[in-house]
Amino acid sequence: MNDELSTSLWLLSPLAVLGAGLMLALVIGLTLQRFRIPKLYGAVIAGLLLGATGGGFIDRALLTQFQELLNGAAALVLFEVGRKMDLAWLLRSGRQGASLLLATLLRGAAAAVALGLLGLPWGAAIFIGSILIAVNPVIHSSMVADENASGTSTFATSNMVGLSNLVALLALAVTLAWTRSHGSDAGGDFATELLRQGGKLVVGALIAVLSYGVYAIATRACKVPATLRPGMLLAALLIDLGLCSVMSASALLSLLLMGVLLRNAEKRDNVFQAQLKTAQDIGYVLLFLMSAALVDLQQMLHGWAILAAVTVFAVRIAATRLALWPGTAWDTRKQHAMALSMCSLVSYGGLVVDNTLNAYTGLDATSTAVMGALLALNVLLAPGLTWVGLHLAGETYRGSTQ
Amino acid sequence: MNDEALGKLKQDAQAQAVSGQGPAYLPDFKPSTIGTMGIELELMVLDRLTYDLFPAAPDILRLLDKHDKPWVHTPEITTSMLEVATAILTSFDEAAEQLEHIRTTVQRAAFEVGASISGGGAHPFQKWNEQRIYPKERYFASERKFGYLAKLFTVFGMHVHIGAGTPDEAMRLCAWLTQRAPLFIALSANSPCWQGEVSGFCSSRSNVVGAFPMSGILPYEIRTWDDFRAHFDGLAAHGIVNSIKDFYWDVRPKPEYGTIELRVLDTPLKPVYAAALACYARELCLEWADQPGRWPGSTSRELYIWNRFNAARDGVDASWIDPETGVSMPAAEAIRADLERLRRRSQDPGFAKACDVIEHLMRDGGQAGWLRAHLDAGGGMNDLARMASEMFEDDAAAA
Repeated sequence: MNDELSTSLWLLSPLAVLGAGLMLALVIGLTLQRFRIPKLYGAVIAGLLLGATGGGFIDRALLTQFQELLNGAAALVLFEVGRKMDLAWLLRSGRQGASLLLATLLRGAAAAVALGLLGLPWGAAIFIGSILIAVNPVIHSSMVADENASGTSTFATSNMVGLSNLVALLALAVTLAWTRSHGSDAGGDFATELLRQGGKLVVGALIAVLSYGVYAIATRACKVPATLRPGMLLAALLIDLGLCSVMSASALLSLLLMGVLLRNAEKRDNVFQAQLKTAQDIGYVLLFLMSAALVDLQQMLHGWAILAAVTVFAVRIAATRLALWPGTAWDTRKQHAMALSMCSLVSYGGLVVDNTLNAYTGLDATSTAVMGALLALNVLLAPGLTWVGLHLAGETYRGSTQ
Repeated sequence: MNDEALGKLKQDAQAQAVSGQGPAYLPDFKPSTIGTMGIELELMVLDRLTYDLFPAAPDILRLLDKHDKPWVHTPEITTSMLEVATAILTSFDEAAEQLEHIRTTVQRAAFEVGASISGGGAHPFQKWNEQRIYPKERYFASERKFGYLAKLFTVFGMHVHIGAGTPDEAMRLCAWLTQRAPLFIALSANSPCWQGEVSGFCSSRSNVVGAFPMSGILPYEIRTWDDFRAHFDGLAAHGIVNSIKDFYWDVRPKPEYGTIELRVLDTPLKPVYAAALACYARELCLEWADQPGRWPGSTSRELYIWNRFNAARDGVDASWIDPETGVSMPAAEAIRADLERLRRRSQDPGFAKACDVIEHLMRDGGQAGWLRAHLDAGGGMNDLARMASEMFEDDAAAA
């Protein structure tokens, strides 16, 4: 076998390319971690090297081959986000729950207004604003795990990740219907489109209830402790994902609600952390590697688009900080920290699992460029700012220093 | 120098000695009223999903700072623990009422920051190495001094202070209460699991204290406050102790409060249990105070250790050798005999209720027995911690 043949064979295997990307991401990430730099930057660098910015080994075409897998991974991340949502606390903690909801709404509204004032069409600004409500669960969860963060502000931000994604999914159903009925590639009227988008959510929610019911019956039938039943949970999640796939329902909402149900309706032995942790950590790296691979720095980091993106990034952080002001559970330092650690954002593809991955094609060219710049900033800046936020809160831990 | 300035100087000397930053210091024994009592509870701070320990005590303490209340709150060695202490109390009803106020206030503050609160002597599955030292110099100094024992000490006890009157009487009451201490271990035992395993002990917490160099009991030869001061000075000269807090005895004098302190109890699963157990200890002290000059007959340290071991292992089902008569009997029988005798002489109108609560604590294997039954019914460790937390946060009366 000559060199030329072996190289081309290797490149023809999408799985091998992804494996190599994961290996590179982990090698760089773990090396960076020794110098106290967030491990997730390994995925950023590997993604940039192998993706559109660098060698182009990982591109949209390659990732499309893994669409089902990536959709599943994204949905499972949302399931974990749902499990962190403590409904009783959000509803009964008064100022705390209210300030998180306010932060969720205000950051989306502030981002939409900022984008409108920067010259984007208002329809596109509101559409992007609805996406910018959400905190990126991969960045937040991965940083919390890597930095061993635990405490009151980490608890609150974990709740807000869930809350913001839930609100973003609902808001996006409306703005997507509007954009698809009025945007550059409009194809139908608003009511029909809203019914279609809303229907996806409703069916997703029903599938979540059904899948949770199956899980609840199965666990009660065999009466074993939680540590012995993660397989049943996996089975229920696969049922959920499969049904969402064949019925074109929102898998993200469905899995998020499965997490919410498991957390809030189940009381007995409600814990699976230890079993899932390793798989989650690898999944976070892999998902972030994909995001980074799709970033084309040369194309996105130019002109006023990047300036607009930086402005919107800052406005979101400021709006979040402002909304946390009524909260009494966190001191000023923790409120600053929480605003920073919730700075990350998700792509369109992160909220709507379909073949478009990161980009929505119905936007005008300017709005698409701004969204692209925002995503590039998210990949480059958000892990670092989240890391700073967690450390500022004083809730990270790496063993005794005394 | 006036009294106020002198008092401040003594307080500073005590604080410096406790933090290890000043010379050894033993304050004078403050005169007190015999039979007054105070209760300290070390509480668990828990994650609301996993019911693992949750490092939220600094935030809860910050919220409690805003409350105007008759009791006090303080940090403990790790950030998943917090301590509350009542004001000076004189009856069961007063104790139960104030402890209930503490419970509701702390629970509300904990919920505000997203945490739960629980009683119990030891968390069933926490890992000692994952605990975080409370960010205060005194605790960092403890970690430097005791190494891993500092984090291992993430256990949760109840301390009962009883007014002793005079310093010499304090030493006599210490000796008497030490004899009875295993009965309190038996009654309060509720830590059947340790580091994720069923330990085979009803009070796993009781075994942790023994690792500290100054654990144990008041030496039998100490009969007066001067004896104790000489003992303290001798140890201080070797650099072994620096303050009264360095004595991890099961019962020790607390000169700055004018009390003796019973330290062997697991934090009960409900505040009302704490009130009842404290009143039992208080009535015993009042009974001994009415027998001036009488000292315990037995000076066998081994007998005490054996009684202590049995109580920690078997809880309310333990056997107990009466040090005065040498007769072996079930601990429950000794407790019932005490309560019957004390009930007749008690001046506390609520003591009968306290006796009923203690009777409840001896049913079905006591608190440790209830927790074990939950495990036997298929509950896991997380579930056990949840059950304990829900018991503590439930405002329904005990028995």
